Amino acid sequence: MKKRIRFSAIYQAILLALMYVPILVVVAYSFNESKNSTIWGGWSLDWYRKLMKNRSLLEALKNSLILAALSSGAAGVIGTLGAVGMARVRWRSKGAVEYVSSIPIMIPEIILGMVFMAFYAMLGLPFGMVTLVLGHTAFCVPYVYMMVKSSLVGIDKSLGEAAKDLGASERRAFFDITLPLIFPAVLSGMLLAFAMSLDDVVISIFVTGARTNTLPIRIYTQLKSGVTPEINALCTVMLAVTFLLVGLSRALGGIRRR
Amino acid sequence: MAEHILELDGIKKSFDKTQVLKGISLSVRQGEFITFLGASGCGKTTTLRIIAGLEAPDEGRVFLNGQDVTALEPNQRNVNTVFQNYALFPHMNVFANIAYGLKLKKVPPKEIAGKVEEILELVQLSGYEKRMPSELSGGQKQRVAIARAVVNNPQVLLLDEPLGALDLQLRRQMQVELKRIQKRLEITFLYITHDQEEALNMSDRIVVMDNGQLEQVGTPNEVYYHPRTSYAARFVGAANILSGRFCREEAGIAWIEVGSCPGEPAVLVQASLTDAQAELVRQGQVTPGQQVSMAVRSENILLEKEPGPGLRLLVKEKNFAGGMLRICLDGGVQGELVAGRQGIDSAFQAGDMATVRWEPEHGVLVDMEGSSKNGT
Repeated sequence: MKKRIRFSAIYQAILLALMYVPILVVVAYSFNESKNSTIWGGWSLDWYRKLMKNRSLLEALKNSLILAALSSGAAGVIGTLGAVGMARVRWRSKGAVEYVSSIPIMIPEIILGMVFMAFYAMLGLPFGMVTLVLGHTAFCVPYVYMMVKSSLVGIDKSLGEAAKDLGASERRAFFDITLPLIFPAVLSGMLLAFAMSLDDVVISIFVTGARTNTLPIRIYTQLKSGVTPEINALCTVMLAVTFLLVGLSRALGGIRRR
Repeated sequence: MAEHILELDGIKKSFDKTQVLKGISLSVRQGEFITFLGASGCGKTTTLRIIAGLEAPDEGRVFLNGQDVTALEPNQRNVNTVFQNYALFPHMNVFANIAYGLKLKKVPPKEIAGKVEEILELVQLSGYEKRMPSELSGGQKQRVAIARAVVNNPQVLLLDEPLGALDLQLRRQMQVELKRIQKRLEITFLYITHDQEEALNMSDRIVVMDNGQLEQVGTPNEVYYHPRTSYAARFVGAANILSGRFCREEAGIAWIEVGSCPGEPAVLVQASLTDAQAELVRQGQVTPGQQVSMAVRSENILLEKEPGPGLRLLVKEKNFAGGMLRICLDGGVQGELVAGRQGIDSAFQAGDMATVRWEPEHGVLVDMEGSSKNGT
């Protein structure tokens, strides 16, 4: 018993040291008056003001938001249809299909990125927002799929049958009964996908064009010229958004299980 | 209107090579309360799902009001189902649940409101329109499920063990209520249950089902007092089954020699024959010495202390069950007989010997007709 307590204490200490100390430092320094990122010069919102005026950063942020919205939206539709469709069939190969479709979560992103790039080049697609959306949608689908799939397990199969028995077509039964019941899961999966898309660097670098910058790419390239407190401010904003989305996604998941 | 509201013609169905329905044929009259009675796994729920259109039969056809509906989807059949677990839509309130079918039929909203109100009154849930299913008790959910189905005025209402999840008292109350609703609306009810009491209480006709086949179709009276097969006799009213050798027939009464303990003389018991059975005997289809089975209900067994004509058996145990005193009798080769009814002579104790007999009309020959199991 005593040992377990010590283990959990160690775990928490490590987690804090590795994750939250850096985060807190960055957040703190985003409010640092001094330009030198190692010296504390008092509180200030200067860097946030500068951030707001930084056109290329704001442009990148806009791109990222559009990209995340489009790809999580597309993933929402595809993932939901996929999970609902797969729940109905009883193929022998069903397990294999599900395994294959959840693989994007497990494959190293760098490989996915290279694969996407090579393939899009073969197709002759113009690199930019189109390829970004395609690539991001591909790795976002599994998040929605898995969320919806697990929520479908909890839904009584006879509900759909009851709807049909009362005169609903297959489609009508889906929109009237199934969709409202799995909607929290769809939304929760989409929010997760949105967050994943918003902070993706690796795949984006491979599939984006020269003119389209997403925020993570912009941050990454700017880092090469040194860490500015402006980046700290941006990271803080992104962190806040991500925490919010993940929290929202979890809350929705909680509603579903109520 | 066709003569029969529902007809099943040679329905067969297999799941994964297991045949669960082995050729079901049945005709149901308009306004009838017909009950499928059988143990779980006998195929009764599959039959219901085939009528509803939720499963397709491998062979055979389903007719509704004379029209072949075998190939139609559930939403194209004027049949509604009360599901075993109610299947109320959890995200809709009581009103929306009941109105769902009418809305799909594009009934004007005003008319829907009136109909829902009317049906809620019928199931005694007036004022519950705004409640969500999660806020209802089991009995109330049951009523909403019934209301949701009958509000569409189906040609046949299918009920799949609707009272299974309720406690005994509520179940008895709902039996009465279901019967009242059925009489009031004059809708044909096809009811599924494994509870013989439910079947006997409510039905106009009972279909006893076993192993994917119809064992017997008849009124509660016929099924109870004249079971045709040993399965029906055992399942409805838990009759005792005795087997023995057929001796002779006299004025509609069969004399059957049942084995006693080895070395002791055989005992003759009596069972009444139906006209059809008597005919079989006269035609020589049943000959002396042939093995036959007979059923006698525990409440019809008479016990006497003094030795006399009849089986002489040992009282093995005595206990109360279901408000009746039951006496188990050990009958040597016979296995066990159960005698029981209210006020049965309780002078017997375990270890006593008793003479066992019954009136000839209370014995029924079963399993005589072989393949001719189909009713009307």
